[in-house]
Amino acid sequence: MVATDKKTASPTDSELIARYLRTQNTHDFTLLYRRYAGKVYAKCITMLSDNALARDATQDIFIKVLLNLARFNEQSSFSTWIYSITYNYCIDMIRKKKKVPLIFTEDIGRVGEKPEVEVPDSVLLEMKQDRLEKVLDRLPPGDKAILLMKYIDDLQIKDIAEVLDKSESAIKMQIMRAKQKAQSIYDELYETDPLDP
Amino acid sequence: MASNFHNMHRDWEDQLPPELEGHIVQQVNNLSVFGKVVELFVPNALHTAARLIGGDNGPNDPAGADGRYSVDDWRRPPAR
Repeated sequence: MVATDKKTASPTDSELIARYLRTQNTHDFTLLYRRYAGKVYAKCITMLSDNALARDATQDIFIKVLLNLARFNEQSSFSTWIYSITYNYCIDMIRKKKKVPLIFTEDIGRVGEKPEVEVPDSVLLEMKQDRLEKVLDRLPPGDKAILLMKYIDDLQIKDIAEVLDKSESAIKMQIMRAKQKAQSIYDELYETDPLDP
Repeated sequence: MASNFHNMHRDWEDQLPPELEGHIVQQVNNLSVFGKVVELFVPNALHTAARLIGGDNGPNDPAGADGRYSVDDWRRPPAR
């Protein structure tokens, strides 16, 4: 009984999508929006570092989601799908508007070359939040996206590879390079106060 | 335990502008109305265009699939 009530109260993403596609009832899409808008907006702000751009991007991303909803085939979860649209949208926007020449620290295709030192996760996870924000702000957008997918969305390597349309080995290498780059930015910014993470 | 990444993300989530929902719902409604208009009028418009260029005379036209009229149709004079 309780389970039924709970199900009635909050339908799953798939149920909402199926219902919206069947009835075109705006309320169903609004529920999806309420579930994901905050997360999409947070990703846009972290990626674009600009509130106004993040607001416009969130709006565009949800319209894109609406127009492509019929193509969502449930091979991945809806959250992975919407995050993949978000990251790719932000990377494209950065490419176009900010004209950043470097999307990843190094060419993602150079899989064979291993970075010299592997930075442990704890280095990033133990940074103070304000410092972490500054470090992320200085990272190339592709690296930033990869670290967000790994540490916020908890995506598996194969999911990240799917989102960025790269091979799994390329993604593993890129994570290592991104962590190394983050540490070097941190060292550069806080070399006078390195002991306080 | 939430990591610094999650805390940072949550802080940004809380800053979602509330007016954004209204804008998006309005756009969803507009698209829905546009979709219904297209669904209603485009087939008729295409059909009319097809008739204008002689591709289709409609289901009530006595012409056959090849566009010729039956000789039994008394309303049409026989071909010379």
